[in-house]
Amino acid sequence: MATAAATIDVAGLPDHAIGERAPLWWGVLLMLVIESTMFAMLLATYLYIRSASDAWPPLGTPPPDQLPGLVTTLVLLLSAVPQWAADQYAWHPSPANDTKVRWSLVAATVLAFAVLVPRCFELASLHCGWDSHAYGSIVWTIVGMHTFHVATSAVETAVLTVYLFRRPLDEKHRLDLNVNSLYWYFVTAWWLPAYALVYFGPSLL
Amino acid sequence: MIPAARQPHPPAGLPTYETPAPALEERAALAAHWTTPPGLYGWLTTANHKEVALRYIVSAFAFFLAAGVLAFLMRVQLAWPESHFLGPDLYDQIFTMHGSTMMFLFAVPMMEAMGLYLVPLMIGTRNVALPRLNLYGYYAYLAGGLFLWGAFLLNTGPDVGWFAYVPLSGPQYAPGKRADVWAQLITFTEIAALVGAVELVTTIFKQRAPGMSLDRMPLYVWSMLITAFMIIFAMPAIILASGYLAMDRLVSTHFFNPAEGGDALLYQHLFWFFGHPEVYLIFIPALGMVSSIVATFCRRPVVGYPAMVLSLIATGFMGFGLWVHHMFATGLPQLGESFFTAASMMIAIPSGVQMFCWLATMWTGRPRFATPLLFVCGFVAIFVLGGLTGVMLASVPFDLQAHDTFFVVAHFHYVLIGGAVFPLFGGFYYWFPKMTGRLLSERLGRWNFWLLFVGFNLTFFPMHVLGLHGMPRRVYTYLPETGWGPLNLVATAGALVMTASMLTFLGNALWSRRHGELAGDDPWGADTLEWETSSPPPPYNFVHLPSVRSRLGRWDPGPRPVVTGLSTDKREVLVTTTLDAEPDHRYALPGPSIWPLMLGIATMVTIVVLLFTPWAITLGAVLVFLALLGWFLPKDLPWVPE
Repeated sequence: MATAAATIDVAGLPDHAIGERAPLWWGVLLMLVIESTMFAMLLATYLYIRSASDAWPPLGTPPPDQLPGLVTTLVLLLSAVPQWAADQYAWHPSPANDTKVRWSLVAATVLAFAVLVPRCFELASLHCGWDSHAYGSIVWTIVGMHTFHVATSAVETAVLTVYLFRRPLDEKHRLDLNVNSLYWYFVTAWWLPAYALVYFGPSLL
Repeated sequence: MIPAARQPHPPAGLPTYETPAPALEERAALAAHWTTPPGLYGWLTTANHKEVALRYIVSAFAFFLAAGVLAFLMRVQLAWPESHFLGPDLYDQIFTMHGSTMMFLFAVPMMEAMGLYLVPLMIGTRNVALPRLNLYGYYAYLAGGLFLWGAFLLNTGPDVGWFAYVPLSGPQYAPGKRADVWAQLITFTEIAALVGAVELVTTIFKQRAPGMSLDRMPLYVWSMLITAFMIIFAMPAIILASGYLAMDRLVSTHFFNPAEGGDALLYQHLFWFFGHPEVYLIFIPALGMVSSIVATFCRRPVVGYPAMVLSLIATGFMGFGLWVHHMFATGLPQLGESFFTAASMMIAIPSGVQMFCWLATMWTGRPRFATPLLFVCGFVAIFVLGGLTGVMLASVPFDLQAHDTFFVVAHFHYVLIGGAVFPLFGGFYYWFPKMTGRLLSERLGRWNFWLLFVGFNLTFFPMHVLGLHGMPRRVYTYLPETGWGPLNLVATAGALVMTASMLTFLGNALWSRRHGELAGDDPWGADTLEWETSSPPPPYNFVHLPSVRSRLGRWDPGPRPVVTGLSTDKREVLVTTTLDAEPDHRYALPGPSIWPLMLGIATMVTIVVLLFTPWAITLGAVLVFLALLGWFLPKDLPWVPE
């Protein structure tokens, strides 16, 4: 056996990667698959309870007001833009781009927390409590679960932002930015079917 | 075509590979960076997948024994009619604890733990992809087990069945905390199972040895990959089922309350959408173990690799289309039920394909009936019987007769013990030398096997008959006039024999760990990469990562180059491409950390407080945030403690 064939030398390979090449990216993606399955079943629960009920919403409960939910949705969609920008700039390291990453993150953090403001009005405009009836339980759970994810992701983005204003943007944190944006896309994307169901379900189903 | 099939045992001249340089210096450097620090602190913070997995295996085995003791107590209670050994209240707790422990604290964790030990070795890497998360998963699991058994010892063990159906488990019919304990146990085991699944998929996708493209992966690795995906898609259903149940009980939501628009059957749908795949995610890893053992002890690769892999995948998919067969007695529309009958019968096809592949392997190979292969033979016999009663139960008219009788108890013990526990014990005998460096005693192994085989059939075969005679499940005693006494006594005698078998295994393991025959790197002449390193493996698994050039793995006669150039001054692993396993980049894994334990404690405190007040969520958010901050912030920041 020739010694030349006996080794695969990997010393020349890079010691970092971003996106789907990185194990961490797969870890986060799989977590999002878990969460997406859970959210799909939340929405299925809504439809299941609807199919078991006569009036929807139940008699005496008006359907939710449209305005707060619409504002939340628009702010949420807008917040995905700086997340996307931060991710894009992170892929192409340069001093100018690194500055853009930082300020995109500031915008992303502000908008992420801004989502929570119309969300508070939204909860009030559902016109029922989670303990009123099964309709109230599922609507509160859908909106509540989403709020929980917005809040945790907002805090995560904030921590990352603070960190990057104190430290240089190294390869490891480019990957962190990358998966942080991935998480936020997920938080934004799954709200759209949830929004459709919570706000248009009462008139359409 | 298959040269390995003709090799004698032990095979003469397995291809050796040349290490490129004197490896002593590299060994020392690797050991310096990969060895877990000594002492309690090192023990609590280890990032070594083998140490974590061994702890997992030992813990899961302890829970297996504890739940087995409960089973034995039930058998004593049922040995004769009108017995008052256990009262009805304690009996309810005991059968619930037995089922919950076996399913949530033994079966799934044990299978994942075996995977977390073996998969990185089998795919030729140094550690799992996310080693600290892995440790946290174990702590969450351990906390859940201590939580459940602590509650049981305080007479607050759940008493509503391992499935905790509403309305029985709802706020109206289950006052007190027992049902809450069950619901929160699920939270712990969810976390642990999902963490393990993410670990396995990520590690398998990104850290395989160069050359190990997906179509060259060992069948065991395939089975763990499919299991992990099933966990990922099945577990969210029970997150919701137990979450809704906990909310109904704690904050008065009405998911399952028909008076306020809720629906009790919603619970059963969610539970069984998880519960049926659960059976398969216990059974599929066992199939992988069977494939490993059959190949090694028949001296040839398993027949029909593509058919085996496709059958595993088909089983994984179909496992999600069967859940309603647990609900045939709930009055669902008959057309829908017939769909699930068809699906339940259809899943016999991929299981049958695999069975025939193994039989063909044994037929065309040169089987050596060592203890691992004996357990595989036991698996074939018992699992086929369980599969046959499964096909019977898939038919609605028969199911309505047998529902909630001992026939069902017999059926699922044949499938679960036959389909998972027998292969698992085969796996213990097969991999014990890799884990400890010493072989288990063959002589005791044979006693272990035959006592288990005879004891198992003695215990569970009579239950088929008892069920057909109408004996219901989950009832603490029966009247002498029913005539069920003699067969129950036989079943209890069988339980005694099974107990003797387990004691034999325990004795064997304890004795062989110290005094067993030394195993060497590869006592069986096997084809997979875990046998390419020492037994037990060093903390870094391989001095030089191996590569493969075909499905034959180590049995391939051609030269297999080793990987050089990985850094030895940090915990560096090689990341390869997802499909073809071509070297892509190097990646430094984190080392030991105390924060997984801290996060585990934060989880535990949150869930215990959650038994009493919903404000635990707020408390938990703060605790978890602090733990995560400690986990992620770099340690050189001025305000971060060492």
